[in-house]
Amino acid sequence: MAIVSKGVKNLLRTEVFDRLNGHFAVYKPADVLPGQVALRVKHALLRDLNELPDPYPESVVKIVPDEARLDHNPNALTALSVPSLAGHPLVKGRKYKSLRLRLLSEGHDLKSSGVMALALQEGVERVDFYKQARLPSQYIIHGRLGFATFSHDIEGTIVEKSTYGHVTQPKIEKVLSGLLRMSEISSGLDNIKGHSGVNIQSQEAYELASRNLLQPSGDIPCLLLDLRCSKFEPPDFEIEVHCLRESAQYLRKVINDVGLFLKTNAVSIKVRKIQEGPFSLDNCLLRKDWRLDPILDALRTCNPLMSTYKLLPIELQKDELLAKRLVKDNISKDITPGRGKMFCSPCRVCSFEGMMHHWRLQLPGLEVTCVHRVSWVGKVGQILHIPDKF
Amino acid sequence: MYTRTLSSFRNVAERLASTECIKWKPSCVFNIDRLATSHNAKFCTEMKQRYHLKLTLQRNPLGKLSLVGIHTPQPALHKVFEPHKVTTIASIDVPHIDSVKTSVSEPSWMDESLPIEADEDLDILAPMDNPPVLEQFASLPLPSHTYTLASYVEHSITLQKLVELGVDLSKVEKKEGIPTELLKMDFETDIQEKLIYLNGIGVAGEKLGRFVTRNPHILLEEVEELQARVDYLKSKKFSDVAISQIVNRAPYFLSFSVLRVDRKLGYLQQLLDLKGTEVREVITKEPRLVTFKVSKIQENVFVLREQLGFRKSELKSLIIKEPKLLLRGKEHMVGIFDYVHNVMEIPHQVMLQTPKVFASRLHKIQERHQFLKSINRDNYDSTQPQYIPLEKLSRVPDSIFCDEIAKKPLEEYNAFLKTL
Repeated sequence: MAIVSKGVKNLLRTEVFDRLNGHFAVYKPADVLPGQVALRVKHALLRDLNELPDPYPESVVKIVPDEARLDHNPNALTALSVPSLAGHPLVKGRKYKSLRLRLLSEGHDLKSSGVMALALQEGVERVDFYKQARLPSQYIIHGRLGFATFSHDIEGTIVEKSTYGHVTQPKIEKVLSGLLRMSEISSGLDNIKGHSGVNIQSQEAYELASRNLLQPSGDIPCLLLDLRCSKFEPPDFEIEVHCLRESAQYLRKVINDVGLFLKTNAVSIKVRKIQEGPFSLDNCLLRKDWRLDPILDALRTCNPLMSTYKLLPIELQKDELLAKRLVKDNISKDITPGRGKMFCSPCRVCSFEGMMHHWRLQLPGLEVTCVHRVSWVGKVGQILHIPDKF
Repeated sequence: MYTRTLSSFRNVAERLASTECIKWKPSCVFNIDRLATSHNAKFCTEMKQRYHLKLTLQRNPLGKLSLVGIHTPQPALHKVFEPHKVTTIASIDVPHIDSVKTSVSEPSWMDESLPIEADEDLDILAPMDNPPVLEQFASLPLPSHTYTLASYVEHSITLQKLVELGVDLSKVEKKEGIPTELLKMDFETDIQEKLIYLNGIGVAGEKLGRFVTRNPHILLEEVEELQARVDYLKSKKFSDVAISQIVNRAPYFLSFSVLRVDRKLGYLQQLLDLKGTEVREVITKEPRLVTFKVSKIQENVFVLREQLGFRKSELKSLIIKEPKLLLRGKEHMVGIFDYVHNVMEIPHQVMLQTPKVFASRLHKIQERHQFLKSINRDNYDSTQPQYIPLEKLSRVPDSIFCDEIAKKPLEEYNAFLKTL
């Protein structure tokens, strides 16, 4: 008999508005700009909120002559609570006029489709924290062999044409593994490790790597984590991509490069995102569900997926309690990464030097070294030194 | 009654509130042992508002501190608020500030001209029967300039009566010049006769409020002018029912002078080669053809004839069936035609029979066509068996589309949509 299970009808309008916080995912249709999608969702939510009945209309206190006491005192006044005309919806207008709704995912453009995460109201404040967690995305890109276009997709002007009869699936897979290796190398010293802010030759880096805590930090280019050919029916083929900090156009270029390495040409027909961090095709809402009730349900299922400790590195999540305590201590401190402050004195605890700000973490009953936070101008990453016990 | 958690507290309160047969005792008490969230302000206000439970902390006979809810039903101070029935507080006769000063005997310590003396034998905190302070609130001066009509609504009977009718002042005040005009007008002398006339034509009840919201300029017109325009329509053999439909669908129609309406009707007749009865039919279905700009109609005729390739005779039958086509956006129409004709390969004749296809959403047509194609049921040719009529493709909701047309479960359709 809990109130929550009865749905929107038994909730007050203000209660519904208070529940509109957090993150949820939407299935972005192709040929709609990502900003447009956010606008449409926002307008649908506002429309539904304003249509909910208002149980507490505004009232105002009026000072009027008190008829009961007029005989005693001709200037007697009394206070009456009356319905407020100035607060009437036909005079004041709609109650809900704006909502904070921002895009959480970055890789979408006009022609791509798929899972797109949105942040609503208070969820907007956690967008930065989510981004520093660097959760990977998964795409399926449909490609076609035989021609190359200017914009790397099927609607552009054709630049080259070639035969593709010689292409086989093993050849494609060879090319993909080559591309993976290339992207690792080109982003400097094995993609993820190169961007972790640690000198890869140091003991430091070894210790972190041995505990699988070497994560990319700061501003990184698009990193391809995995490339696989899931379907090959010439001339069409499908590639499954796991990546970080990608953009749809970059992925189209990858397809173009695949074609070139196969000594033929390729374009991408469709770029479809199937996973964005914790959001997958099962969680996201179709266009017909961009309304209040489905979004409230989606918030209820998706908000726990975005809890703070889930956005920490995976190694830490294994010890949930420790992770929660770490998070609590980290976030409650007033940290302001200094813009442009590149170097600072070595850490008092472990003498760790480099481009970072740091503070000391005290965990009750634990021998801890310290937590170092890496910051590049505005972007924040994390390196955590965990005591040997854990 | 004892509960352990706040959620169960809420459940009990709700259950008691919903059962009307159990009468509440004046001080029903609920105890909660856990105090962790006792200072949750939100919870307290919720209890107060919904279940009239005032929450306090009390000490048990055992010495334990616990949260207690006391039922305090609020007395009804005013009538139940009904949105369209507003009671005017006409009995306020706000006394002028000067007259109040003379009639009330001001205690000497309120008189600012007198110097304050320390050893005055006065009790400032003693209750006064009519403290002069209240008069400041009784006679608030009206603002001379505002951004909204809400500042004047409490004082203007005209505005209050309009709100009673259902006119949305928040929308009306955005139209240029209207707010000042409305405030200058008196309901009984200026507005009432026009509303009575509109009621006579066929704009009645709720429609009247909606009409005035959309076209508040009607209140600035003379009744004789409105009558002349309606008489013109009658002279052109529009029936009374047709006139009421026209006026309701296009609130700005009556703001057009007889000359302008005549010119527009003549132009439409000449443009599409329509007979008298056909003109009447078209205008009754879509009276906004008269209120819209001619350039819009010309553009749409160009699109239909030159870009989409309908012949003049075809165009005429199309417009008579669906006059709204002359007002639609051209990108939308071209987009739908492009997909329906080039991708779905439906010829012009079929589209002529169902002009409603232009009224549907493009993405709906695209999604459903692609689904039907994936299950090999994209058959739109009426000569072949198991064909799908075009009007059923996009104008029906998803559940009916899946059950009757595609004959597949809704989940399969949803899963397919996530692969597009």
